[in-house]
Amino acid sequence: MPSLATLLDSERCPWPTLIATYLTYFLIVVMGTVADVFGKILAFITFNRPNKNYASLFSNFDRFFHYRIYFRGVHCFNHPIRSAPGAWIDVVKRASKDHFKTWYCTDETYRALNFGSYNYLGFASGKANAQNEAKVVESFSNFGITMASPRANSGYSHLHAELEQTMADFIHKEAAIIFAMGFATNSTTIPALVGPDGLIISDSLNHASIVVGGRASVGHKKVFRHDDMAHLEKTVRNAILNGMPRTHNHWSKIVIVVEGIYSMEGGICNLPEIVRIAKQYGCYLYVDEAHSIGALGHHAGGVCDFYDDRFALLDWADAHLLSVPGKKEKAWTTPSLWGSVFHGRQPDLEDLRQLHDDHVRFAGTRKALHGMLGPQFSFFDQVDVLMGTYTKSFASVGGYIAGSADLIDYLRRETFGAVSAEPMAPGCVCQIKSVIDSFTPAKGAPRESANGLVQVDRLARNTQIFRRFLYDHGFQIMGDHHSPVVPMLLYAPNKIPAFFQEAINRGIATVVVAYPACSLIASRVRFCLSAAMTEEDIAWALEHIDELGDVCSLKYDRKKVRKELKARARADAEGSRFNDGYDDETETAPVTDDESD
Amino acid sequence: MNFTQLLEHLLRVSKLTDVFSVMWEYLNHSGDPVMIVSQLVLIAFVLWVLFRYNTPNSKRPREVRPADFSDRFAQFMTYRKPLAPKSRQITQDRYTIVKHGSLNDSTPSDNPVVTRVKDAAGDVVDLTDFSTTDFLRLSRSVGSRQAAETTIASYGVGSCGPRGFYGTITPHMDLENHIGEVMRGLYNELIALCGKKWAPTSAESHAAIAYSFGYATVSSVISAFVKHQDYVVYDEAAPSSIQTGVNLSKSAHACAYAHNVPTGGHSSGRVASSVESAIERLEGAAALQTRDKQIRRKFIVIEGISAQRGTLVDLPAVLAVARKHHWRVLIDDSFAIGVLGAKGRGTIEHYADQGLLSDPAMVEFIRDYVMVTFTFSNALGSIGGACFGTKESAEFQTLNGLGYIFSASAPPYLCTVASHSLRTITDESEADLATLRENAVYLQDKLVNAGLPVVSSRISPMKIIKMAHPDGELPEGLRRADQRAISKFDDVQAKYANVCRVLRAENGFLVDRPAFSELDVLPSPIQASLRVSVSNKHSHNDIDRMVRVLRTALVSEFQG
Repeated sequence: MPSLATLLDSERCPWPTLIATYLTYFLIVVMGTVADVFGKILAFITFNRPNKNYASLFSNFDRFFHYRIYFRGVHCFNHPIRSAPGAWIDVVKRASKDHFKTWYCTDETYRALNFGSYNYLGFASGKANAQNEAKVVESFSNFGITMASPRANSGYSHLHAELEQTMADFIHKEAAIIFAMGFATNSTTIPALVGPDGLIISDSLNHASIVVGGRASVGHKKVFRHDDMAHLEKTVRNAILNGMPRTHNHWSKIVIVVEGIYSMEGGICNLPEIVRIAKQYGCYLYVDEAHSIGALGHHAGGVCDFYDDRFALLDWADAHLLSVPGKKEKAWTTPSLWGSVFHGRQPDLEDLRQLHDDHVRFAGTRKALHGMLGPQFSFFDQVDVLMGTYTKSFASVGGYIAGSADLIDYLRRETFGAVSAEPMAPGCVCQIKSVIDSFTPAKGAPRESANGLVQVDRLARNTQIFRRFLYDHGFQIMGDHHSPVVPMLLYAPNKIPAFFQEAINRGIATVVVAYPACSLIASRVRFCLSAAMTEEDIAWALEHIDELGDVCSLKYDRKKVRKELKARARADAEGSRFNDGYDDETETAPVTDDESD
Repeated sequence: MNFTQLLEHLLRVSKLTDVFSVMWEYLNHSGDPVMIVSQLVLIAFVLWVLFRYNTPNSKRPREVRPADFSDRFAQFMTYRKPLAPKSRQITQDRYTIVKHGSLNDSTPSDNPVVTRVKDAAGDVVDLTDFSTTDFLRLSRSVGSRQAAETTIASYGVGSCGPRGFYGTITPHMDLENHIGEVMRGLYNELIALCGKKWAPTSAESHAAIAYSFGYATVSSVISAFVKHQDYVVYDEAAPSSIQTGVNLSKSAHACAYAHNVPTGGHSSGRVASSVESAIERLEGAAALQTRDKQIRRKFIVIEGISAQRGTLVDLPAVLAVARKHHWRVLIDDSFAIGVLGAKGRGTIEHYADQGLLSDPAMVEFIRDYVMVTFTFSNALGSIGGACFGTKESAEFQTLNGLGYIFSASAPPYLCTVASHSLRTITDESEADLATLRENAVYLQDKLVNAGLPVVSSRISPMKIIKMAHPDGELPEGLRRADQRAISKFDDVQAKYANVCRVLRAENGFLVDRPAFSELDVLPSPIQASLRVSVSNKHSHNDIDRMVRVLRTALVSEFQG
């Protein structure tokens, strides 16, 4: 039986759907061309530029794409809202007199559960954020709304200094620098890192800000296939082997740039393997934690925290296995032995399966990493530059770079974000500081006393429920089990408006993603989970999504899942609940591998 | 040998014989034995290079063998540089702001021109602030703070998403509509003044679009409109935001025009001539190089008041040039909005007030082909930026503006504050604006009378003071300068830093100096200088005292 992780990651599109999808796009383009021809004949005024001496702002392709493709689904995008972007939002109902060429806002709204905003920890509004908002308002009596001067001049307040220190401590780095815009954090820092003899190796699906940073940089750029570690290693090896183009001199440095959570894919990057490659080949590692900071990890510390946790768990499992030789099946499958490592929660079948999957997946990587870095290491120390934004989990605005003191000192002197751009507004600084403070419980106090950590746990719970349900009901979802970003594949472009409209009519606000943002056939709808949603909210939404899945026929995985459910029911009936799925896999790679050394 | 190979071979032979015959002719006629010998050696060398690998036995692979990997890797690891490049040891002003003087406090720092600062030693002092560019002190006004508090109460702090993904909240739309309304009002006044019976601009024809960050506004706008094949002409003294935009556009036809404004004075058409020469240079070069008959998008990027020099652009002359050559104009009004014009609507209003934009053709040009961007971080006392232009251009940016699509939207409260400030400026502050401009002129006169060389225009509230010093200027920026020039330049900057420090520590004034980065992408000149920004709240007494001590400090630093 294939493991759950591989099933969840399967993006195999049924071939009738594939053909239908391509056919739909073909028809859209043909119809668009026909419409253009008629448009040119019948309504030539709109096609003629008023003055022939000035080039049109839109190129022909832009115009075609905009009016003939994008406009077919334009009512699904860019909905304004009339409330704070919390768990429930008021989405403005728009109306149009000319088929959505132009639109205006009506007074009516949809009351909808918000799956669109990146409000992972629920600090966008409401009770969770009341305390933070009070601090923001308090800051107005000491500072104006802004500092009104670049950081290098008189734009640096003691609030900024405190936040930089707090942030550096929070993610276990020597120093940090904050910027007023997340996009500009990447796009101004990356050019500062590499000179003309440096190389940036970037994931193919990295966010536009990283791409812009690369474009602004004078260094060389190479791209590896998304999440393809073998290709990354090959790229790095080739780069070192061949050196710089033409001269074949060696590179002065190689920087690997990846993201923690890919916002359109929902996947968590394979950080252990990337760290292994970076360490083995002497590359520097830059991790963009725009989505993962706060949303991942037991202490909200992002993807490093997450993998520290997973690896601690795996180490614990190893120690346990080795301590009871000959009884390894028992150790793997006796839940009472696992109590403390799952943070006090009773592990269930899924936890153990995931752990086992991790054990298989990271067997080689762990061995290599332990060989290079010793038995105890933290991923926080292995990543050279940690970048993140405050827009998402922290419900503020801006971004940070954390790294060694030298690096941050250099950035403070040289990067445009610090030298000539405006610094973060003091109010936003206070919001972030307050959120970070809420991640640490008072000394000796239980975890539940820290507001932020409660939200972290809620988010994890919501994620588990939501992903589990969608998977069980045969939807094709992408990404990692623990990722709060849940893209669900729609494939056919005609399902985009259908799903969106049906969902919002029922009170579910989603984000639908189509061609330029993802590959042509893999149109998807994206759910971003939030700690602000209650269990009832989630259950209610899932019920509707289930219905929608039938209406729009989105349950592409139906057969496979039926089989899976049947298998599980049988296993349960036999009583050996935790033996299921491990019988044939315990002999393979991981366990024997570990025992051999 | 198949047909294609035969053909290729024949072609190669025929070309080679051509070359040889031409060479032979040339050598026969030159009659210089040294020349002939050296040419023959060269030819032999070229032939050797060409045919070196062509014999089958000596075929050597061009690539390094995989077995070399360990060598290459060892070499790479030996010469690998640390991630952080070694930074220049420049003097930094190490102080932090502790408190802004606010309007409604009963504390001694009641005065909005006072800022409480903690210096490197940890001492807290109250300074008279000539540094912040919040020219009307709207960021500290009671109204702004109330607007912010109300917005936070109903919309929270952050917007938690980009504009497309439920990040457009009512304040964002209100702000865009408001900016649109204000700027359309200006355009309609222009249309009314020129005496033509044109339809006034409306929400269907012109719109504004808001960005979440001032620095990213103009760079996004430029990189959205200017692509590789398009043309752009920009000021050589443009701030890094414009330079970034030009760099990101990767335009093959980008050219800087000379800033060319006489020190401290009004520019009287000299900018226009340098713009025109840049345009002619670009178009001339393009006409020679390409057979591309398609019309390309062409933009002149100017600043109302230059962020680096504080000089006012001669807008009518630039517009005339642009109209003549059919270029669009992008005005970065960051320092002019809320400063120039009777109602603070920027450079266009400033010149319209003087009656210089009343030509109908000019008004039509402004209406159709001019875009205005500005940041909220100066006179508007908030964070963010906006671009105003035709509806088509706004729509284009919603699809192509990098900072608009991919960045999270601004916190709603910052939008409300910007909107509130804009309303205050256009509706209530005619007197305040007059005071601000009067202060600016007063400061300029005082500085000039004190014998200090001011680069900026009289009307600019931000003054750049540049002492005559041979090393205080790098004509091609830091990146292209050599090490000696940079260290000399840094010495000059250290002098200015020292002046700032003296004013802070001994005289109680906060002034600053522009900082420069060695990451500048385009070869643009930089000048070490001192910057003084005045607001409408400064009294003449403040200005007098500041100029007095500034003069003493500068003179003792540069002549002592």
